[in-house]
Amino acid sequence: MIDRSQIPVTRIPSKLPEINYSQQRLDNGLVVYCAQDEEELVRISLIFECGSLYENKQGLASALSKLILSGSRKYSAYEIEERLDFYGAYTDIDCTYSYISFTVFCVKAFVNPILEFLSEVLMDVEIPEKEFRLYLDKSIENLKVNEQKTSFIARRLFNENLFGPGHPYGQSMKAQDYSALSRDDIQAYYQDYFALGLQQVQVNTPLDEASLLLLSKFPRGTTKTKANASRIKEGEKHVEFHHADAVQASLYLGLPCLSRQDADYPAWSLMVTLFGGYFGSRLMKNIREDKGYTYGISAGTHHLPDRSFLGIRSDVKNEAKSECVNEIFKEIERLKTTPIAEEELLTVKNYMLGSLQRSFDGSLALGDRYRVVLDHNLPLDYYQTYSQKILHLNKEEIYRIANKYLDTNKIHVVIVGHFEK
Amino acid sequence: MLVYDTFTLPNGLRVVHHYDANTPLAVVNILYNVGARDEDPELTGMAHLFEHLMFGGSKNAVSYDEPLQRASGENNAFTSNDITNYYVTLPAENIETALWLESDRMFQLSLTPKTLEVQQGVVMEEFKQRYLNQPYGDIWLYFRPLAYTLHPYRWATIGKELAHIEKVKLEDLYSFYGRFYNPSNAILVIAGNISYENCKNLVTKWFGDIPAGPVNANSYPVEPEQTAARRLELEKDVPMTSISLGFHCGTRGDSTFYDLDLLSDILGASGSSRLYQRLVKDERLFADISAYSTESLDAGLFIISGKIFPGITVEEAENAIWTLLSEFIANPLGVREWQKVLNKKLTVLKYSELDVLNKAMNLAMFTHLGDPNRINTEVHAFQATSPDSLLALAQQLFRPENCSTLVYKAKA
Repeated sequence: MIDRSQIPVTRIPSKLPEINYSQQRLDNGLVVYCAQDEEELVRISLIFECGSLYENKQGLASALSKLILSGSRKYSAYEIEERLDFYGAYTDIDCTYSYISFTVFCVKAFVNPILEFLSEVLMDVEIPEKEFRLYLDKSIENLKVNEQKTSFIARRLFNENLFGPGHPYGQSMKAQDYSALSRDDIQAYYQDYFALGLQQVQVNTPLDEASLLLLSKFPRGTTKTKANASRIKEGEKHVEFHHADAVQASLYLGLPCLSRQDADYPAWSLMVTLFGGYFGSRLMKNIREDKGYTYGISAGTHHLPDRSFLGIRSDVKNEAKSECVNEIFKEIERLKTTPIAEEELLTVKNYMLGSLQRSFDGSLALGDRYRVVLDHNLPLDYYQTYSQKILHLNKEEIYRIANKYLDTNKIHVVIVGHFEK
Repeated sequence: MLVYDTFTLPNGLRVVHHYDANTPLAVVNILYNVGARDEDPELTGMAHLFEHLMFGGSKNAVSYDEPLQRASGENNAFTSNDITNYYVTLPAENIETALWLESDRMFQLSLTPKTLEVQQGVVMEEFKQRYLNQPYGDIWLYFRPLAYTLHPYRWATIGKELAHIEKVKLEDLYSFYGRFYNPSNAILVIAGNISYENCKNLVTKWFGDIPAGPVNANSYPVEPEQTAARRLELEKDVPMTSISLGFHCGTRGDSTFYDLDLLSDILGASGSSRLYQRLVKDERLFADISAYSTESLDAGLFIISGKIFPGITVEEAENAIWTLLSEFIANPLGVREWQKVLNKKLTVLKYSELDVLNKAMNLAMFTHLGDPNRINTEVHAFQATSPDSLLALAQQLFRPENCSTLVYKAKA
């Protein structure tokens, strides 16, 4: 019989693979970033700098991203979708504050037909009125569904109060915002921004000459001026929203915080993980594993262009909603008053380093890391440096970070649930 | 071609090993042959609740999660109507921690009143979060007992109702553990950067001395053939009326599964699919519509489900679905359309080979279905379908007497 009381010895993964992408500048000036390893499954991201910070009317960028395959001068929506499906392509069109990224997954054999087709379609979009109407009708109905969800309302109220309802990050689409959109607005946004061309291309595997030639047919976009995202007008610190049908309450708490560029970021990040960033976090242990008030609670750092914030969210037992908020504040106080035990620090460090290692595993994961590096203007060895810093953090440092950044006077609290009158 | 090896320990534990040199990680995946279909109809949700209890610590590991986190690992689990699957990903050099933890909880799980009480609370909040506090969240709680009258698929994995979860007692857990959680009733997959020899030695070391136990030999009541259309109409406070149609179909293991899967893609998986193209795009009756099958081990359901725009009547919407289905089965299916969904499937299959965890889970599932090599042969099975075989299956399925319809009506 084996002695099961002997815990196996473990090692900490300390080395991360290098991000080894080639950079090629095509004749049109477009930069193509390709990973070096051969893969049969190809992911190509075409990145257009025309996210919602460029729009002058709320909802244009998002609408364009949803309608980008709705028709071109030559092809109908059906013809476009059918052709991409026939090539076995899966598309993922993401609209952020900075860009619209058009990502396609396919097998190697279809890369060139797809690129050729996309170069025709994406650069010649003519949105049919009928497709626009359908988009609007669907969006308005889906919004009504979302507005019944406590978690949706909580996030909306949190953003409004953290940034102010007039700030790009504080806004969210309401029914009247959809109604204010017209097909011509979106077409104009396409012409003024998207149609100028794309800024970069990222691929999880090398492309052949023919593919690069096809990419060189895309125009290369020029950078335009973004909206100013610096003027923040904070709202209420404590918001309670009564939802008559709620059987659970959604909580959203948070405060502005430091960005990845900050020297304190690794320590902050470790503190946030310890607080609510993994299954063994203090919030999970307290609210879920000790009290059974929730299926899950998490805290994480969200990075928007020029702004970062800490967000804490959970759906909890309605009757326990105030108690949960109090417990979250207690856990914050605990971080600020009691230095963490060496054992717990070691667990979090090891967990984080394992998590980093997993986030580099495989060509798609590696591509995601590279994307973060490019988007945030970080040095190529950012993650290597970050992981070394995590490895060497001590409890005094975490204590210092908690006291420096977790100012409870700055925390916004949103509770959406059933409130007794 | 994915290369793997298999061996079985004397206690009946079936092991599948797959070496992947391209990752620094290892995956330990354990599939237990127990799911919601094995539950007492008066104590539904038990298999899933038990999955939560598996994280409450075991004789030599007071906590399951903490030593794993300390070994830089991550884990999770899921329960379906058919199986319960636990998985760990960690640095390959730390694999013993996962084997220690998994073998200890298979052998001597700690079941305490405190863990039970807390996890009952957690699972009831999960029930609310996923099924009750979401618009349309409870559709399946109504749909299952409509489509199934006898087979245990008539309840959802989460359970029929909150009260069932509330009334589980410690004795119920002990008997459930004794019946299903042992090496003879499990499949262990080790995948990643670990050699076959190392895998075999370590698995034997940690699992070899766990006594054999009962194999789940449950037989499930066969759902009687449906002979008349069924219908349930509910009125709910939702913005759009939702219509769901469920047709009885085959099992995940059937040779016709591949036709079924491609058929659901043709009808309702993408923007160019039949249902979406006509009912959303052309006729603007539905805001959204899709088709898929439940992929279960016993006879499953082929589902068509959509939400209709306000102002469109249920009758109009339903007629439109049936007209489309009638036309579909009455006309030949073109090769291009079949080739289209086949091409998309090939992309999906390639995608599923990228991730070591995904490969491990698939190996476990295919072993459970009877042959791990299906991970390699599925692609041929999809290619061996034809427009005619898809159509023949569609003709069998899409009959009103084989259909259950749930109308989840928006309150006026």
